[in-house]
Amino acid sequence: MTKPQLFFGLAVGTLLAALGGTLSAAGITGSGLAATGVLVLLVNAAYWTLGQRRRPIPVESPPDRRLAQGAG
Amino acid sequence: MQLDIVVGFFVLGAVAQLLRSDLRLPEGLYKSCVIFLLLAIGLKGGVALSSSPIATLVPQSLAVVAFGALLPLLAFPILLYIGKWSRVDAAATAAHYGSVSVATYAVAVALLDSRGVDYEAYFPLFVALLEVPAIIVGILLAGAAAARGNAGHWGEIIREIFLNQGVLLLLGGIAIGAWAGERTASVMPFFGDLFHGILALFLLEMGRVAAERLPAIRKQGGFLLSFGVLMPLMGAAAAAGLATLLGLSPGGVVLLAVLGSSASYIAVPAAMAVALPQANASLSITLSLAITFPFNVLVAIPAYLALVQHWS
Repeated sequence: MTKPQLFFGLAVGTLLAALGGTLSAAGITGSGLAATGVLVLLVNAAYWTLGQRRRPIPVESPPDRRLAQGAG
Repeated sequence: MQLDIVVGFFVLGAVAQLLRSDLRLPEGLYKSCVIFLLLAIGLKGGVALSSSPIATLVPQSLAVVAFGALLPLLAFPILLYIGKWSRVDAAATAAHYGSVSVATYAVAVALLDSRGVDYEAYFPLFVALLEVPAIIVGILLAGAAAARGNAGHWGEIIREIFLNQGVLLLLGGIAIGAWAGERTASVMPFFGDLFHGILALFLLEMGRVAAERLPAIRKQGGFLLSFGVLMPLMGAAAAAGLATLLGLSPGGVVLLAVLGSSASYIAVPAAMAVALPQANASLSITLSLAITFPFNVLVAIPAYLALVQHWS
C-alpha cells in the first residue's frame, strides 16, 4: 500500500464517518454510513501497519558492513 | 433506517457462504431469475412509456446518456493516479462504475414500492440507456494503443453492447410494454406479483457470490474498499443534482441516485472481455460485486431514501 492510497483511504473513511455521524445525529438516517466510514479507516490502518511490518529489514546497513570489513 | 425484507435474503446468502455452507442456487434457476427480473422491469417501464410525453422524455434521456458518459471520467483518475493501476485496468473498471446494475435498481424499486413512494415509472428506459455510454468512454479512456489492438473487434464490441442479455431483455421488455400498454395486465400476475419473491431468491445467490469473492480483494483491500464506497457516493451526488435539475419526483431522485451509485457486473464485463481483453476482469467484477453492491444494498439505498424524504 502506498502513502497516497493510505491518505485516500483515511480521507474517505473520515468523510463517511463524519457524514454518517452528522446524519445520524440529525435523526435523518441510521448509522450505516458512519459504521462504513469507521470500517474504511480501520481496514486502511491495518493494511498500512501490516505493509510496514512485512517490509524487509536489511541484515547489514552500509556503515555496519564497513565496520565489519574493518574488523576483518 | 429500516432495510427492505429482500435485503435479508442477501445477508442470508452472504452469511451461508462465510460459514462455508453448501447453499447454492441451481445455475438454471439463477439465470431464470435474471431473465424474469429484466423482463419484469422492462415491461413495467414500457407500459409507463406508452403514456409518457415524448417531449419530456427526449431531453431527460439525452441528459441521462451524457451523465453516463461523465461517470467513468470521475472514476478513472482515482484508479490511475491514486490506485496506480494500469491505464487499461483503470479504464475497464471506470466503465463498470459508469454503467448500472439492474439488481441494485431492482432493490431500490422494491424499497420504494414497499414504502409507497412514487417515482417516474419509465425509469427502466434510463437503466437501458445508462448501460451503453460508459462502455464506449471506457474503451476510449484505455487509450489509442489498446483501441488499435482491438480495431478489428468494433463490430463484435457493438454487438456485445446492444445484444447482450441484459440490454436485449430490458429493451425487449420496454418495447413489448410500450406496444401492449394496458394489455400487459394478462401477464402481470406473473411479472408483477412475483417480483419481490423472485428478487429475494436472486439476492440470496448474489449474497453468496459476493461473499465468495471477498478473498480476492485481500491484496489491495484498503484501496479497493475506499474506492468501492466512495465512487457510489460521488455518482449518487452527481445523479441527485441532475435529477433535481430535471425536476424528477423524490422517488425519481432516489432512483437516479441509485443508478449513479451502482456498478455493472454483468453487461460491462461481457463487453470489456471483447473490447479490452488485456484488462484484469476479476479486479473490476470483484470490486463492483463484493464491495459496491453490498454497500449500496445495505447502506446507501436506505440512506438516499431517508435523505430525500427528509428534504422533500
